[in-house]
Amino acid sequence: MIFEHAPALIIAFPLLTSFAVPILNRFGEKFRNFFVLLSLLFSLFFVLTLAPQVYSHGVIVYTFGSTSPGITLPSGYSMPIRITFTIDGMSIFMAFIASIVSISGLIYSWGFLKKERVGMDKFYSLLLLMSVGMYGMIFTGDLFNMFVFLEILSIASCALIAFWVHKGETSEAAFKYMVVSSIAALFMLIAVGIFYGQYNALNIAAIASMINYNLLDKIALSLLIVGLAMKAGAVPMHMWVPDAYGQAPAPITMMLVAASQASLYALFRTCFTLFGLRLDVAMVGWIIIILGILSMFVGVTMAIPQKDIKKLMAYHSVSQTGYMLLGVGVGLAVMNDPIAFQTYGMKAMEGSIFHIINYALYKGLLFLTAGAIFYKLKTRNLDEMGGIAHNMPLTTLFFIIGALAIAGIPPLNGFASKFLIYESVYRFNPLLSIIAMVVSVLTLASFVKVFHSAFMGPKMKKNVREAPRAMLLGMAIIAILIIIFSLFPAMVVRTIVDPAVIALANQGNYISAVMGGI
Amino acid sequence: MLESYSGYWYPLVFVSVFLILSFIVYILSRVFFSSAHKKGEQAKPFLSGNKETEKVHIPASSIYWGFIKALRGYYDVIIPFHTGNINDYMGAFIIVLAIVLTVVEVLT
Amino acid sequence: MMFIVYLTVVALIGIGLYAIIFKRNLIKIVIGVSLVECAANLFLVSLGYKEGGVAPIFTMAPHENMVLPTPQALTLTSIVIGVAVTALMLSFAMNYYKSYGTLDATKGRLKG
Repeated sequence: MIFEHAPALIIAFPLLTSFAVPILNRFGEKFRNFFVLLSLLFSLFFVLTLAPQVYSHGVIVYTFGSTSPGITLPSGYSMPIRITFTIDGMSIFMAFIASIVSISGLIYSWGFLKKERVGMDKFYSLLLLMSVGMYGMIFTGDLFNMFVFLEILSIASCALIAFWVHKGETSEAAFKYMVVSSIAALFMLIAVGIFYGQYNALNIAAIASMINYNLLDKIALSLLIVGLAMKAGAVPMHMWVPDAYGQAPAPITMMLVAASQASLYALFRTCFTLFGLRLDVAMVGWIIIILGILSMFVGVTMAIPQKDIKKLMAYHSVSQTGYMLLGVGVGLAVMNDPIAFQTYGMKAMEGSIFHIINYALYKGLLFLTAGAIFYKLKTRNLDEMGGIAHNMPLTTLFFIIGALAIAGIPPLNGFASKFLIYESVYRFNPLLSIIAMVVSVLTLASFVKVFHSAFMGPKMKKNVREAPRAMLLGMAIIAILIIIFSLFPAMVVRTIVDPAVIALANQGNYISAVMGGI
Repeated sequence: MLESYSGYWYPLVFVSVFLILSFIVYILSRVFFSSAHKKGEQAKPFLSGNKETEKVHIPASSIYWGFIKALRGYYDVIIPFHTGNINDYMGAFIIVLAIVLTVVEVLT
Repeated sequence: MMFIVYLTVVALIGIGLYAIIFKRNLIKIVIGVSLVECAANLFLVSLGYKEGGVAPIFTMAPHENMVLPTPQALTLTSIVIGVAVTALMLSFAMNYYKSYGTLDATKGRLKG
C-alpha cells in the first residue's frame, strides 16, 4: 500500500525533515542528527524497495494526485499534463548513488564539523535539500520540474560551499558557482520554453513522442547540451570545479560530485530519451566525445602541477567526467547502426555508466581523506605535509584504496569500468582509446605525487592523531562498497548497470509507459 | 565475469593468483634468502657510500619538475587560461555555445 | 506583434550576457544574471499569450477563448527561484567585499 507511493516518499522524507531540522535542533544535537540520518535511511529503504519493481516492470510512472498522468478533454484531446515521476533503470541507478553519497556524507560531517558552534542546523537542512534536489532531478518525468530541482540543488550547494563564511575565498567560489549554475539553469528554462511553445507539453515522454528536430529544436538541444555540460564540469567550462570543490567542506565536496553526476544524468536524458534517434546521432555523439576527450586531457594535465590537495583532486574530477562523456558519446554516435551498437556501442555505454557509480564512490572517498587531513593538519597545501602515514594509518589505507581505484589499477573497480571503455572505444576509434589510457597513466602519476608528499617521509613534529570515529565510519562505508564493487563487477553490471543502459537505449519503452496510460 | 567483446575480467581469479604467487615468493625468500645480511652496512637500502642524511622530504612542488618543464609550451598556454575570473568562465561558455549552435545548425 | 516580444527577449539575453562577460563589478554581474532571468520569464509569459483570450480566473467566462494557465504558473515559479538566486548571489558579493575590500571580479584569490 505505502510502497505504491515510494517515489513521492523518497523525496518527502528528506524535504520535510529539512524544514523540521531547526525545530529538532532545540531538542539537542544527538536527537537532530538521529532524525536527519533516519530520513535519509528511509529514502534509501524506499529506493531499495522501488528497485525490484523497476527491474521487473520496466518503467514506473508515478502521478501526483491521480492514477493516470493524462487528461482527456471532451473534444477528445488527451495529453499528460499532471506532475509525474518517471522511474526507469537509469533513474534508480542514479538514486543509489545519491542515497549512498548523502548517507556517508552525513555521517562524516558529524565528525568533520564537530567543532563548529553555529549554523549546524542550517547545514543539515541544506544537506537534506541537496539530496532532495538530486532525487528530484533523477526521478522527474517533467522538464520544468527538472529545472526546479536543478535550482534547488544549486542553491543548496552554493550555500553549503560558503559554509565557512568568515573566509572570503568560500564566498568567491560560491559566487562563481552560483553564476555558472543559474546561467546554465536559465538556458535550460529557455529550452523548456521553446519545447512548450511548439508542442504544448512539458512532459519528457510527451515531447519525445512529438519532437521532429527542426530549427528550434536544434537551438533547444544546443542550449541543453552546453548548459548541462557546464554544470557537469566539461572542459572548457570546468573552471568553477576546482574553485567550488576546493573551498567546500569535505562532505559537501563529495555531495557536489554526486550533484555533478545528476547534471550528467540530465544531459544523457536529453540526448537519449528526449531526442533519441531523431538526433543526428553521429554529430551530437562527436560533440560529446570531443568534450569528453578535452576534459580528460586538460583535467589531468592541470592536476599534475597543483599544490592544493583538494584542487588537485577537483581537476581529477574533471578528467574522470571525461571518461563518462567519452563512453556515452561513443554509444550515441553509433546508435543508428544496429550492428555497431550491439557489438561495442552498448559496451561503451555500459562502461561509462558503470564508471559513474565507481567514480562517485572513489572520488568521494578521496575527498573525504583529503578532508580528514585538512581536519587534522589545518592545511591543504601539499608542501606543508609529510609523514601522515605514521600518524593516520587508517586514513592512509583509505587513500590508497581510492588512489588505486581512480588510477585504474587491477583489481579495483576503476579498472573494471575503464577496461570496458578502453576495449569498446578502441573498436570505434583507436586514437580515443589511446588518449584514455595515457590519461589513466597521468592520473596514477599525480596520485603518486600526492601519496609521496603527503603520506610518506619522516614523521611530523606535530602530534597528529587518527581522525575521529564518525569520519572513519563515513570513509569505511564507501571503502567497503568499493571493495565489493571491485570483487564482483560482473554482478554489479548485470544487476544495476545493464538495466540503466537498456533504459537509456530504448526510448520507445519510456514513451509508451507514459503515453500508453492515457 | 565481466566480458567485453574481445576479453574478460575476473577479479576473483586475479586476486587469488596474486595471493598464491605472493605466498610462493614469501616461502622462496624464506628458503633461499635466509643467509642475507640482516644488520650492518649491507642491510641498508642504498649503498652509495655517502653518509645518509636523515629527514629528507621532497616537497610537492618539486615533484614532476621535469615533466612540467618539458611541456613548457603547453603549460604556458593552459595555466593562464585558468584566470579564476567569472567573466572568463562565462566567456568560455558562450564561445562553446556558439560553436555547438553553429555546428548543430549548419552541419545537419 | 509577437515578433517584437521575441526580439526583446533576445535583446535582454544579449544585454545580460554582455554584463556578465564584460563587467568586472560583481553587483553588475548579478544584474546581468537577473536580466537573463527576466528574458526567460518574458519568453515564458509571451508563449501563453493568445489574441483575445480570457484569463483563466473567471468562472462564468465564455470558455472557447480561455488561456491555458501553465506558462503563468511556470513564470511564477521561475520568479520565486530567481529571487532566491539573486538574494544569495548578493549576499556572496557582500561577503566578498567584506573580506577583500573590493567588488572587482579580477581581484579574486582563487586562480589556476
